[in-house]
Amino acid sequence: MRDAITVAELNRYVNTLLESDSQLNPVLVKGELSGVKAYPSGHIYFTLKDSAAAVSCVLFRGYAGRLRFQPENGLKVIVTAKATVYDRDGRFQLLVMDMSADGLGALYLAFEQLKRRLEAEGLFDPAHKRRLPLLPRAIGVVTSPAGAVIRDIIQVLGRRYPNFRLQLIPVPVQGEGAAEAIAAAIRRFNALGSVDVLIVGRGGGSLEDLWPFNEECVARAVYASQIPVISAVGHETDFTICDFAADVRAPTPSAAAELAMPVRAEQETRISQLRDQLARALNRRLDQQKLRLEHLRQHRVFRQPLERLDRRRQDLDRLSDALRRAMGDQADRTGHRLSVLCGKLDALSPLKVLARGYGVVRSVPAGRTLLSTALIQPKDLVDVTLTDGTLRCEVQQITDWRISGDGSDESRA
Amino acid sequence: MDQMNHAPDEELLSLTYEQALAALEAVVAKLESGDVTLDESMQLFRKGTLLSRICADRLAAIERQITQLLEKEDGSVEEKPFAND
Repeated sequence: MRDAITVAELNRYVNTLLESDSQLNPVLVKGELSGVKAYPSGHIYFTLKDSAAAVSCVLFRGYAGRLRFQPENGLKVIVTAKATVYDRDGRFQLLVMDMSADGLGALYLAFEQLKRRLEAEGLFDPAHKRRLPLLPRAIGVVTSPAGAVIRDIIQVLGRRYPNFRLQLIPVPVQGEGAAEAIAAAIRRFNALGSVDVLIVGRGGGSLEDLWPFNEECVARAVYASQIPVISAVGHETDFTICDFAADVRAPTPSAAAELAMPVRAEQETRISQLRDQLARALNRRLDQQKLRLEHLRQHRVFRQPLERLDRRRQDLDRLSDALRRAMGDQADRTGHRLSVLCGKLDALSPLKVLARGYGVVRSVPAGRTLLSTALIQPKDLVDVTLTDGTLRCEVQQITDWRISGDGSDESRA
Repeated sequence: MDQMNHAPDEELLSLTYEQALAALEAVVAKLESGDVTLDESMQLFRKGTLLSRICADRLAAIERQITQLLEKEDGSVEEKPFAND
């Protein structure tokens, strides 16, 4: 007997088996929805059943968000799912990844299968989608030349933009060869490069009628188009492979025309708004500058240029007064001293001495003031200066007052 | 956008409607930001005026024309007026 395994190991093992079975991973199962329960987490739980059997299913939030309809009890659906065993209770359940309404038969299944394949290939990748031009110089249309679609498109375009340009490549939009013609028309527009945006579409009809737009060749032509493609097939509720591959899906041909062309009047309004904004912005800028200039002009320096000068002048006056005062004091003090000195000088003046009867005796011609008789001989000339003039005199006799050895005077003659 | 601000007028003339409109919006935004010298303001205004004229020209330049492209037997394409009534 083999060793016993744990329950967890059992469930894990069964899951491994289920995962490795290509028939179950993924598996398409059709049935009726019952016990649908949506949780706040976003996950949806339900049972898929038919008259004889039932299976638990869970639709996780990430997948639930992509559904184009709300799961409801009693709805017949086809789910795309992965078969698993829930670890916690060992219950067999389907992890549902996609769900579509059943009742459309094999065609719908084919649609689902092609959709899945092309999606996996990246044909519906949002990153690949091109932006529509704001103003196409010309619009290309791939549809039937007869019927309401092209008429609606022309009408709507004319309303929005009276002078639009449109090129139509007429194609059959249902029946044998329609898909190939549609794909060829898309490639032709790309080869010509004459339009900036493409509208590919047809009016409403049965799934069979819409079928050309579910063909792979159309999806590939749309995907490969360098010109942005608006897909407008059938009514709002109809989805086609072409819609998924297109850059933009329009619910109706009229809506496609609205997406393709702006309203001219709105654009003109926008431009004139911008023009106004431009002028306003510049004026505001100029006003700011003016204000700044005005502000500077208001500054005291500019308003009263002389005021500053006057104040400086006043300063100067005050300083010169002070200077003058200081100088005056100094002068007074100096003057007083001078008069004192002059008085002294006057007292010492030789003229004063002469006025008292003295005379100054100078030798002739040397003019040396004589302080002694020693250098003078009788007959020498001398000048005697008195207070009011000079006498030239000849020395007749010299009496020497110096004390001689015998105490007697000595006279020379 | 700064590059576009300094682009010579000839370069602006080759812009599509959408590009000219985007450039005009950028010029207006820049001028409104006030983060420019007076000289630059005058430049921006001049450029914006030119761009708005280019936009208006682009809007008016399209001529109404509705045609269909028909493939001839030799494989060439013929453009004919299309009337849908």
